Amino acid sequence: MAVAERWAIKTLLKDLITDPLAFFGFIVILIAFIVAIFAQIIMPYDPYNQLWEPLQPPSWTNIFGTDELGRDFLSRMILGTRDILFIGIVGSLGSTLIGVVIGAFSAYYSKYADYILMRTSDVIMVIPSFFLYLLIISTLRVRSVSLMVLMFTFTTWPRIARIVRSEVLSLKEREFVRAAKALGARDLRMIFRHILPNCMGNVIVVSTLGISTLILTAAGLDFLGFGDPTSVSWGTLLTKERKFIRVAPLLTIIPGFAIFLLALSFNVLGDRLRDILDPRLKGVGRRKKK
Amino acid sequence: MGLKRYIIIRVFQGILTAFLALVVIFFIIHIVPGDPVKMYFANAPFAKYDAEREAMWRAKLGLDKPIYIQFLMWLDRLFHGDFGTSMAIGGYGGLEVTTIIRQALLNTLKLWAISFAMILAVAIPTGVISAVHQYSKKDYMVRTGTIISWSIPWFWYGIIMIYIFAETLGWFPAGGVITLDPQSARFGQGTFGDTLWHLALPAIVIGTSSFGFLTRLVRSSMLDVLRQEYITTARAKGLAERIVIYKHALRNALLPVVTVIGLQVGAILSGHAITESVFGYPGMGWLMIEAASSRDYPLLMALCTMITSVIILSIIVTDILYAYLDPRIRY
Repeated sequence: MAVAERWAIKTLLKDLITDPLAFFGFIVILIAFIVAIFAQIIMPYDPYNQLWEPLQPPSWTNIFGTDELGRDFLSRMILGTRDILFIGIVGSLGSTLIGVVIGAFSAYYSKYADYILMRTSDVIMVIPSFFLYLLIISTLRVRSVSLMVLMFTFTTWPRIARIVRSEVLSLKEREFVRAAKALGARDLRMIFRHILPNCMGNVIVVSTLGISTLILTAAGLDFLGFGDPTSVSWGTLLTKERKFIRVAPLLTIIPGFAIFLLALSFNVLGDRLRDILDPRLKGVGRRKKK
Repeated sequence: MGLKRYIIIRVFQGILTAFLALVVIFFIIHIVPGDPVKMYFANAPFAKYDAEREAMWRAKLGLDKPIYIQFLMWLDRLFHGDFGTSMAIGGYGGLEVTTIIRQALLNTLKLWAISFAMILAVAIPTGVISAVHQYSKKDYMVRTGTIISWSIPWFWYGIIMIYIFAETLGWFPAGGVITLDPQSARFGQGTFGDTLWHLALPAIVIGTSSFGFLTRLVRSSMLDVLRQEYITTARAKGLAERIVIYKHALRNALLPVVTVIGLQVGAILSGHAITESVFGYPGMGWLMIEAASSRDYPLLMALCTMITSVIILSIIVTDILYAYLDPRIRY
């Protein structure tokens, strides 16, 4: 790894330890991941089984109480972690991948392809995304997590493509690119190994912040009833328990608060990343050791 | 190259983009299963269902013709200013789409006016303070506050606020625009005070969850400006620090802020759909959700057209503004 990257990671870790907010965010994300991965093991009870009295307040057996059908709420929340993380991370990853590829190619190759790609991304960005989600979900019969991920990917890649494109455009003319070309950089792919790493700073920040946006949007759609009603995603839980807020307010408070914490953590992470990566990594080339 | 030519090119591009966007939306709406006629018969129990009626409605709405013909018909009506009649809202006869949108727009604008005033009042001073005292504890607190503000799930926040302030404490009404029951109306029915009373809670919710973005914007813009040489000059001239900051720095810092806000207009028009839903507030966002759920084609297309055009318009205006200010940006 080049010097710049190592330094960036060191600074990030140092920040995480010294800055209480960043540390908190990091811990939350870590816990979320662990819970999601080991959900089946951690869950105290079966989230789909109605074993108790409905709408019970927290007790020693049911730490979060029970929902309206007598299912243990804690287990439902634990299982729901998976859905949320999946949507956020996969969605953001997908759109980042597509955005980077399209943006890089669009900037690097012919003017014609560039123009077309930019107009396409314009059209996509102009359509109000939330509206589009509503339309698509309400017209298709399918309501699933994968659909959401697909939609998010489709509407978010233009943003990333634009960032990558402008960076690549400016880097194309820099000396080290020309030097590499003069040295007979074998394939354009090799040049992507030089140019792309320098764009990554901004891209990483936008992707990370995108994760929390996706989480919030997904939860919002769930809330409006456009999510998968059989899932235990936190947004769906929130919607279902909303009716019982007077009897069991905790059932509404907990999922929302969890969503809040998760979104907060990703936002904090993205923010710290931005502070570290933005001005400093720009323009530091990765030198290939022979 | 000239400013005029740039403007013309941009406007032309904008229209093209808008047209393409509308085509895409139109196809999405119409091509997928489920249509307003079926929804209508499903939702209106008093309407007699028979095949004949269904066929009549279809013919009337032109749904029996192929898609591209429908699109052309719609386009044709559009140029005559006819947005059609809503199928779902207003029951059997249906209200004119324009009437519906007008009312919803008014409501959303009311809500937004208040929220925006609150946000501005908080965000600008906070952003300025945060920039001026960069890296201090105040700055850190502000930055933390803004991140928290960004991360709040609005719907959850709305629900909680309703629960606390409307149901438990009874300080504010739980939603709607005016009080329907004359007896519980504290400020009289339909008066200005009544409206404000109803708007207060949603405005607080929108305000607290959105001010983070604006504060950050003001902050970063101020930071950029404060590094400029003319600020140093002003200080060297011996001007009081306060004048330097507010009169010189802030004015210049606000320009990018205004342009970004301009780009947010589209988001404003979508009217914070979720918050409006939670509060049962009949604004643009709520309207969108209703239209989407009932597949109300005329309403949907009208909403899309409006929102898309506004977004594109704001982008074009912003671009032109930039081109005007910075002669380097031309084609």
